[in-house]
Amino acid sequence: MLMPKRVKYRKQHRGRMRGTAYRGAEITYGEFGLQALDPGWITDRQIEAARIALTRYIKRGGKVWIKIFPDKPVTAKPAETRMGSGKGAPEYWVSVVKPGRVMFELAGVPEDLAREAMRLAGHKLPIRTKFVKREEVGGEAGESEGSS
Amino acid sequence: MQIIGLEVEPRQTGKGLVHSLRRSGYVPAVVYGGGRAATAVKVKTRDFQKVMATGSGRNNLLRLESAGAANPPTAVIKELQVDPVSGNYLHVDFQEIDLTEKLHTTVPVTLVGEHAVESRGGVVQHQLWEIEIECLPTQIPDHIRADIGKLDIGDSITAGQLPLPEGVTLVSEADEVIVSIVAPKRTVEEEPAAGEAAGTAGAAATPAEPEVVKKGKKEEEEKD
Repeated sequence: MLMPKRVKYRKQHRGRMRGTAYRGAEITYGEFGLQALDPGWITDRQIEAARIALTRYIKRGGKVWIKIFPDKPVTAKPAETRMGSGKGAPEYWVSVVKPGRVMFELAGVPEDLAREAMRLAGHKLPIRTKFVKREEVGGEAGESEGSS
Repeated sequence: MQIIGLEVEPRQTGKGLVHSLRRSGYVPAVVYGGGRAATAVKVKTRDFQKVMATGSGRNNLLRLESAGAANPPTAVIKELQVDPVSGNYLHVDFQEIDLTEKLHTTVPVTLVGEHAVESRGGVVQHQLWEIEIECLPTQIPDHIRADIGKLDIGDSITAGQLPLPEGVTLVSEADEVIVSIVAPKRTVEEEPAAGEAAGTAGAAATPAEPEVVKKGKKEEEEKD
């Protein structure tokens, strides 16, 4: 699973997810991308599940980029524990994603294959997503397809 | 390169006014350069979409026509704000240009002969999608073609090797790799997949915690 090697603090506040992503909202490495349409926390396991779904479907030849990293620790209290006595222990890691964020990129595969691979990967995530294409010459491509 | 006419109308500034402009089918914009003060204008969204879909898109030369203006200025799109989710245009910066003065711009690099490479078993890694060039506004190419049909696995094309049209000079670093051909990676996917399956089985396995930076030092500081 993805997680930071070193952190400055073990626990974090939950925070808010207002607005849209302006950084990381464009396809930078590949030809196709999977863009978030909702805000949410994507866990390390979900990222890994989506990556496996992507790489299994494209089999070989293509290249996958994961553009989000779970750098936020989420704590939880053990089951059947009384409230109080401080914050729980770090349980897992999440990546905070806002609408517009391109989470995965893909290159070196035909569009129909990329579209299906991204659809499968999108089903591993807890937010609505859309398939996006790199901007083409003479127009904004941004072709979309909804999935949940 | 042809110059495309685009009708602009003056507008008032202000957040609320701009929001209502967008709702009524306009894109707020600003025109600057050419030694004149910046002026706030608006363009019809549909007209602007047509401009972006024709010719070289963002690199089109525009003639900003407005009612009553005898000498419409020629401009380029300097900056474009797009909503990251909906893809709607939010704001456009037009920069007035002199057609006899060279300018810096970025043009996309398109690949030719990908099928030939793929049929030989190579994987095309397109690393740099745009290059920066300097040329006269009328000489801006729609795109630069990189012919990769004859490349073998392990070969690459750098920015300096691209065939540039006459009058166009490269501003990007000449040794930047545009595209490289690599051998396909065999799927070694089953191993991590098996690991993943085992990981999910023991779902609540203790997650290894990362090292906390400078914890000791901080405690020392607190003691002081």
